[in-house]
Amino acid sequence: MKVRVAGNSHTGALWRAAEADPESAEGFRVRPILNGSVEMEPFSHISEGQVRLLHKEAQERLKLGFDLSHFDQDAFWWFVVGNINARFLRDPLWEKVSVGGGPGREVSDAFFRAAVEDFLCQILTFFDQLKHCGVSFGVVFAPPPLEARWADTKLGPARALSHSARAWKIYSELLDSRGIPFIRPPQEAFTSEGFLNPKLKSKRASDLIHGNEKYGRMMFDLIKQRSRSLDAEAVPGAAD
Amino acid sequence: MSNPYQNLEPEAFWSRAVADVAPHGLSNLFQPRFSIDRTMRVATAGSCFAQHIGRTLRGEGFNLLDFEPAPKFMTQATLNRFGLGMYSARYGNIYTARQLLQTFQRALGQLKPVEDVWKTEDGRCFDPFRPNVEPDGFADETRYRKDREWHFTAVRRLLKKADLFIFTFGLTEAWRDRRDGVVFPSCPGAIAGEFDETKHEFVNFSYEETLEDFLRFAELARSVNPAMKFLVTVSPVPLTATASGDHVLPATVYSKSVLRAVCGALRQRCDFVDYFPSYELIASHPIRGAYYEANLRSVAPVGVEQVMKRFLAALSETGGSAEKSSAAMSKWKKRRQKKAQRGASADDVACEEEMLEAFAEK
Repeated sequence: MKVRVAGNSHTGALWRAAEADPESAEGFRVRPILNGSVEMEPFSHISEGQVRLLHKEAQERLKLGFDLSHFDQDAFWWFVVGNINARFLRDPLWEKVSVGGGPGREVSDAFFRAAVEDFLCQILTFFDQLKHCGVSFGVVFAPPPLEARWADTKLGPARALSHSARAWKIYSELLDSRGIPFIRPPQEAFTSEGFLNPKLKSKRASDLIHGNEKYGRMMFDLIKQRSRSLDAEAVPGAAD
Repeated sequence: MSNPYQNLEPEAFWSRAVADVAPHGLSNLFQPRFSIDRTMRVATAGSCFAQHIGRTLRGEGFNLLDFEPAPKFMTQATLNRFGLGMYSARYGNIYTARQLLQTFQRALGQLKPVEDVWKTEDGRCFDPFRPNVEPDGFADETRYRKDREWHFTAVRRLLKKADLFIFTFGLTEAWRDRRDGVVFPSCPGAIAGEFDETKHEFVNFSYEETLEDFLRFAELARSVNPAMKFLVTVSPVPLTATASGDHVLPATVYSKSVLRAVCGALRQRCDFVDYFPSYELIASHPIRGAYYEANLRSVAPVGVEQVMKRFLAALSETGGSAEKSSAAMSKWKKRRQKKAQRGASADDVACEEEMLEAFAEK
């Protein structure tokens, strides 16, 4: 089975892991093709029975990375999309939202769910298009929030962690309800509180959201493992 | 022989201002008595039609206050479902002057209604005065009360901060609690709660009551914020249904006539109140119903557009305000640019680098 891994900037760590060990990456091709801001607006459509990208730059990256003009049905795709731990949390509203009954604005589960669904709206549309066109695919989560990213911010690490966990739970439920397999970071990627283990952060000092090559290897191993098990199950995938 | 009509402007004469003009061509209906520009902090409240005013002003770069904001990425449908982004606080539609007065009295702790929570059998709670803001209600009473306290704080902040309060009168009919006279925005039992005729009664407010209620509201608001000005309008949307026992058409005409007369009286009595004739621009007979949908109730987008176009045109023609607006606009644009720059955070730069790296080696 051919496996393609594509997505936003969090795909970078996976790409580096695959490049570093080409032998173990045989049959896998990994490339970032989107970015977080593109995911916030309509970025895909169905044309001539295939799911294609709307943005020229993303089209070029798909062509350059996979030599494709659309998402094909000949491979299993893993999409690293739906970065709900940085872009989502940056909205100033969350700074005032109560955590665990503490002070602040009360946000109901229904409201929070609606916010996550709206945030992921274009991505969910993309998934529905892929299913409609018979593309087999799954989703790879972005890393959890890094404590340092939210230190000295109005939101603060505790709120970032709480909101992020709440949003991840909803994202998982949304994928489950669509029958889309997904991969979350393994236990060792987290600190005991639930943040990204600082040892796995990007080597660039100013980059407080991406994982490093070690993180990429960890996730890439999970992808390989999960892909093999899906292969053994004749790739029921998301396109049934 | 001269008379006072001789030197009047063309808009004072029906033939020239109305009869000879197509509905789209009606002009000069609104000559603002005070300047409204983009430096003013504007708050809005009222019946459904008021949402159009708020949305237009926000779109045009006016400083529209929102003390209970939603995440910026939320869709309009979600915002509507949770009563967000509709007005300057999450109080939902306010149809009557009594409801307006009571909303602010409650926020200031001057009114404590007997019936202040509607519970369902499974313990979920609805706010009787904002039954639409949580479609499934609040999970429990603690969460409900916490949200309500947050809302009241937002309303109090609004009172302190707003330079201009825009209110659209919607109805004279309401349902009230017999025990303390507190009115509900919708009949108990319609969205949530339970109707009990021993506790709830119908009321159709008179001209005197409506005028008195708004004057009391204005007095209350100005006791907190003495410089606050008011712009009042009447919703052109007819009643969906009447509980008055009358036919819905005369019931609508009664209601709108009272509200329109109250607006006229407010403008005459108070130099800090102005009236914008959105009602006339949509519902009056020279328009021939052209701005309504087929049900003759919902206002068509073209109607909203025409009304708001005239509103904005009048604002830009007020003495000095166009100039002020232009200066304010440029300040506003600078603020927006700065905000956009702030929005493009280090995360985005990091993302771009991460993206480019994968292709740089190709």
